[in-house]
Amino acid sequence: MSVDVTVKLNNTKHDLHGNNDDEAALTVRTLSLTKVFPANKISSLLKLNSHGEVKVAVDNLNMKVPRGAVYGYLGPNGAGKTTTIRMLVGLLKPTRGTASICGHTIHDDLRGAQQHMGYMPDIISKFPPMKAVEFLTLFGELSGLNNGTARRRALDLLSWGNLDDATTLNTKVNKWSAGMQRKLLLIQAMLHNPDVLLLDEPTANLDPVARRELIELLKRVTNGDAADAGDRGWRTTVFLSSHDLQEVEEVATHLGFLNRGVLVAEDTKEKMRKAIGAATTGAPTFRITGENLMEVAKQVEDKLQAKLVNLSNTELTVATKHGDKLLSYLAEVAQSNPEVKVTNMTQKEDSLEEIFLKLARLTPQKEWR
Amino acid sequence: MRREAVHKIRKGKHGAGGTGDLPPVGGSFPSSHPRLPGFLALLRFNLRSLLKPWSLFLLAVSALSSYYAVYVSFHPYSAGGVPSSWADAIRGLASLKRALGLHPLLIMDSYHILPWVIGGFTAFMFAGGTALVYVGACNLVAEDSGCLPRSLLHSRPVSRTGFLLAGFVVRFAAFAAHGFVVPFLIAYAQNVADIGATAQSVITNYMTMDQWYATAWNGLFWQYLAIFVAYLFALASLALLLSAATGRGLIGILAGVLLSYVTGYAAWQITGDYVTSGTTLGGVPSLPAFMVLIPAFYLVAAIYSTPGFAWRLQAPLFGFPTGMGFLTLYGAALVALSVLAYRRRGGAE
Repeated sequence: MSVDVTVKLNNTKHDLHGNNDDEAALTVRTLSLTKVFPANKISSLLKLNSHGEVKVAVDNLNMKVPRGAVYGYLGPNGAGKTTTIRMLVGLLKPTRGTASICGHTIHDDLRGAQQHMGYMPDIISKFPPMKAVEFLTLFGELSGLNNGTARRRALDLLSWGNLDDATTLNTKVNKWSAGMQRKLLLIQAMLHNPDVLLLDEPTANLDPVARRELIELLKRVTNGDAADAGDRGWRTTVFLSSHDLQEVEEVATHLGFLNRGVLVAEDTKEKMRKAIGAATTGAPTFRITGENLMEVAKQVEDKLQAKLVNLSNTELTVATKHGDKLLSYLAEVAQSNPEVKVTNMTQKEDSLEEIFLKLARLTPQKEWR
Repeated sequence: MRREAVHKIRKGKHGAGGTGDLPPVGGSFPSSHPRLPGFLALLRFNLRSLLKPWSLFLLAVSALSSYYAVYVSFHPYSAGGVPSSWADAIRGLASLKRALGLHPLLIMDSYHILPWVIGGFTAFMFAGGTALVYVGACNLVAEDSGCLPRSLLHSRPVSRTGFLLAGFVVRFAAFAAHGFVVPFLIAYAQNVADIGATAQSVITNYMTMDQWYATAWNGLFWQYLAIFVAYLFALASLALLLSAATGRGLIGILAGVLLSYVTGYAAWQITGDYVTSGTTLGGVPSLPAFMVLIPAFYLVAAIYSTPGFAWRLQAPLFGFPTGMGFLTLYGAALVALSVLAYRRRGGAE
């Protein structure tokens, strides 16, 4: 059963890809990007061959991130999200395949690609004991800005991120709270006004207050509040890896689902919700509210070859390929049976959490080879 | 179709074809990224990271210790306290070694062993102690401020070689300055200060000013020259160490360290004989240690403490507490030895 569903899901994915073939409008593009790790870490350290055991962290990834999109890169822990990003930014070398950032391929023009990207890593084990302005100025200079510009930009962005009070500015960043350090990492990624921001789990392990603050900041980034388009003429593209669905729900325009290294679905958020619902049930799902709906359930099931997903007197959820006929049919039934009342009918969109769980469940097992 | 595209790209990597079906999108950066500002920023950062109170204190201690160690090494009090007999002994050893093809340590007799032990140990303390002091200092530096977050650094358009070079240049220069230049300057300053004063100067206790300058320019000069030649030999192993630290794994690193010792020893073989036979400098017994240990230790210490290298080497070998432990022990031992040597030397007088 799961195999059938997966096939449908893959077909859906291809259809979704087909809608967006304008390569020039892509900021991030991967082609068969693959990363294979040796199974044995000690062997890896010593560069010895283990017994041929490997772990495929990212498998044949073909991903398209349109220019100006906020791309939520979702997947459970260990799916390969961080590995993907680390390959994109040049911290890991892909085993196979390649990727391009703004047209610069990472295998032959990594530095060119790096000029267009800002990277916020998931975790920094140790911050250097520097003040924020020093820290940001240094990284600004390393991104090609001159000292004065880097410093000015650092101060502007610290002010933008509400990190510009005297106490904060005079305290070394290694003494800052985790939430403030995350903000700082976001700011350092934005320093040189990159075309694409790669954010790796920006809110992971933060307390609710710090998390909310960072999400609000991210929303401002994605609204183009700080990331001025400048000469580009388009908004900064944001590539956001996360398993925090609320965060992605709030900011993302596009979604990509990665599970066990395989990109199982990719499209805009809205299309994805509908498509995943249809792919898992075989047909679009509709939610009908009203009174005495149990009376009509059987008829809908027979007449429209519908599958009952959920049933109560006041709510009926059905999956049917004949959605266009459903409303008129319900109207007919309600007319002939006065006890039945239909107050509302909507096509059901899965929440991100539902999509997430479905996709995680449906992806075939593929771990050790 | 996608496979074809990837194939095309792979072909492009080897010189044919292009970047396949990945069109350029344009962007806000100039096509050529200026590298110099980034490199200078890294140099400044590394310099600033060395100029911390703790590391300055440690480097000052090490410089002072180095001075005393040099002082003791170059003014032996053993074997009757006559420098020339010691030099003769070494010359004898060297010729015997050449004749027998044996390591000098294997043919030492009771008459020779004392200067060897004292001189060698002092030199070892000088080399090892100061190097470990440096390592300790650099542990502090590297752990606290010398290391930038790798993920932030290497995701930027910065040359990895430039990054390593910036760290290495600054540290190696600091080590060389503290290991050679600073003790030499201290000795010189002290000597200058003694001009016109009584003959109680630490240096003029044993030599007249003329002797001191003669020693400095004949003995020290050649010995220092030899040491720097040794440096060159030791630097030859840098390539291996670089590759070891940047991705060849632990075996490569160990091989690199071993090679630095071997090249240091080879340098002594080549240059040491000239020094031992060409000068009458007291303290020559410490030469093997100088030739082998100092370049090797300094090189390893410099590499060890360079951010980027340090990430790989520091954690498994010397954590912060271990580094501090070594630092304290060696620092204390070095100072104690120096004081003891100074007193004994005074007593012998």
